[in-house]
Amino acid sequence: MKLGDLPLGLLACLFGLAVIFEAARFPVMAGMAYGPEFFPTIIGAGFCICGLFLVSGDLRSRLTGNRPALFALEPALHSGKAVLRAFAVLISVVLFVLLVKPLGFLLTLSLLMLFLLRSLAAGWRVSLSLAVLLPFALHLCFTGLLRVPLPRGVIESLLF
Amino acid sequence: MPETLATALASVLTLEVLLTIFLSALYGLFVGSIPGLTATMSVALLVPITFFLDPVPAVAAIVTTTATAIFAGDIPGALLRIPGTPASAAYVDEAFALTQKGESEKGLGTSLVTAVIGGVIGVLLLTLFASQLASIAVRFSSMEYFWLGCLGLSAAVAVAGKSVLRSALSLLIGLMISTVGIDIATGHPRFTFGAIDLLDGVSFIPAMIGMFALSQVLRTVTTDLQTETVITKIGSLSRFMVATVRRFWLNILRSSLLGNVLGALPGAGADIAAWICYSLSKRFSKTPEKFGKGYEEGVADAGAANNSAVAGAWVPALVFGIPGDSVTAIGIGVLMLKGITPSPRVFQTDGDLVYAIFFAFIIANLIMLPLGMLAIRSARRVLAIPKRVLMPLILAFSILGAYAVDNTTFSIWIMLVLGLLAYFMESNDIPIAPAILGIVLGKVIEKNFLITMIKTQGDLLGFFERPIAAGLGVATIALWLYLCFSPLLRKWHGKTS
Repeated sequence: MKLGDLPLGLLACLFGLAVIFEAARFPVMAGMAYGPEFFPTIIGAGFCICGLFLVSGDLRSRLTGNRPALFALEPALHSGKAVLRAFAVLISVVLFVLLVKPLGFLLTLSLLMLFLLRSLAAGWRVSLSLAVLLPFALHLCFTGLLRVPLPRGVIESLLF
Repeated sequence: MPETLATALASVLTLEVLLTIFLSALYGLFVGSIPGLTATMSVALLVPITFFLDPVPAVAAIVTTTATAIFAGDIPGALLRIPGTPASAAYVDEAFALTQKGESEKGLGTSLVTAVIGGVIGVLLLTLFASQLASIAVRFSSMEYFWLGCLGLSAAVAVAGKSVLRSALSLLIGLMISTVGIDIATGHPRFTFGAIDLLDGVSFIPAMIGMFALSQVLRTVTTDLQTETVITKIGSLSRFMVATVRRFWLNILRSSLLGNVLGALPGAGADIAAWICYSLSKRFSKTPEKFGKGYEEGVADAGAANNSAVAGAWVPALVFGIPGDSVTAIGIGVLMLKGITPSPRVFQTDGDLVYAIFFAFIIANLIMLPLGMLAIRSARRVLAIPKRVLMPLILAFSILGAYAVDNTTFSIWIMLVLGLLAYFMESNDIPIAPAILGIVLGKVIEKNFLITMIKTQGDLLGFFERPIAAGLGVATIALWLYLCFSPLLRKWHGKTS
């Protein structure tokens, strides 16, 4: 998603103002010239200044007759399939977070690998073998060698 | 000093460290030779594993992976005209032109041997510079660190991208992320929106994994899932390597020196070093007309420069805790997790560790020669691995890596949000590197600012009281003025001429 300079600049300005507004609500400490609000305020102001420069540059180019697009979708995202693939990646991450505690690490990762590999149109044989082998390999590596406790579920309690 | 060196060497020459270096080299060569996967991404994915290693093997893994990945980026560059990492982009046309002439071994042999030599010279310079710089920097106080941080950020904006405005925006995003969490002076939670997990700030490693790995996975699944295969035959490499060193030793030496210095500038990494040294190579060449048509000279210069820059980036990282590039930013994070704070005193407090890093660096560069030849030979197979299989694997590693560092699923959310942010930034031509430096340096600058203000009781002129601080301050302000007025000057110059 590519924004033109005008909407990008406005977005930066709005964000900068929101930061300054939020920082103004931080408590002021007696006897301290510069408190917790000082740096965020500078950063917020920086966003506003950058945003104004972007907006003014865009308006100037509009005055000379150019009409830069306000919003453009990257060529890659014109294909519906590409968007669905990106969506499959994002949904996998979200599902991992939601499912890993109830289902345990091994089952969650297996299901998600199968889902993602098939979404990216990998062959059934590769998808199934990776969905079975990869979670076990990672489990061995992380809990066995690196001693990271991974969430346990049905398969873990049956096997380990 | 000799004792420290001996201890350092002994701590490197253990089975654990040598095995780590060997495996990391293979990993770096593999990731680097896959187009689209950068050296920084390979390091970000490696961090969760280094997290559980001892300090020496942990840092050895990082430096080895970077050095080998930067070289391996040349392999698809030469064979497919797709740079494996951004650092190879400068001379990809040149190397590919050689391949088209049926001389791929010339391009690949040159880039391998110059990478090894550039890397070793880079480490020797690092050893020299870092200890010298440290002996001066021991006297630095909060004022000097404040200015160094500002100078680092300004340099990052100046060199990072085409547009200063967009680099500045990136920097602000990084600084903004660094302010999240409990304020160091008053303990007030800032921008945490009630989330307890954010009180400590945005966790750095999940952030890196998101910004470099997840954003890349998203970009790859939406653009190029097709895998191209190599058809070229590669001839004998070793013959060309010896000939290259004999013919271009002066170029290699010059670009190693310059690449090292460029690498040490915050924000300017291996890719910028390669671009600059390639163009200098053309300018000073006796036969500039051969450039672009398949000629090794430019490859020799840029190939040495980018690997030397990898070492150079560690100079400010070890001495000041100011990263020279995104990889050293991650490296600093790992050192801190191991309880080692980069500072001028690091040579006294953790001298054996620092020298152990240097030794590991040299070993990494040396074993790159045989392993690099192996990587070139097996390039055909590596490049044939379908991305539709590789991307889910990378995603699984990313998720697990983000989770493992803090053992909480909250880190996965951080990875997701920052991955989307990085994707959005890149789509809008906003470079990522300044944001990374902003995240690392934001806290350094704020802390040193507040300490100075407590020392001087709120007097801003205190920042110019000490001679070195005043010098650094003037340099920083001069750089700001240059950044602000250079577009105007250019316009004015254009009008008058």
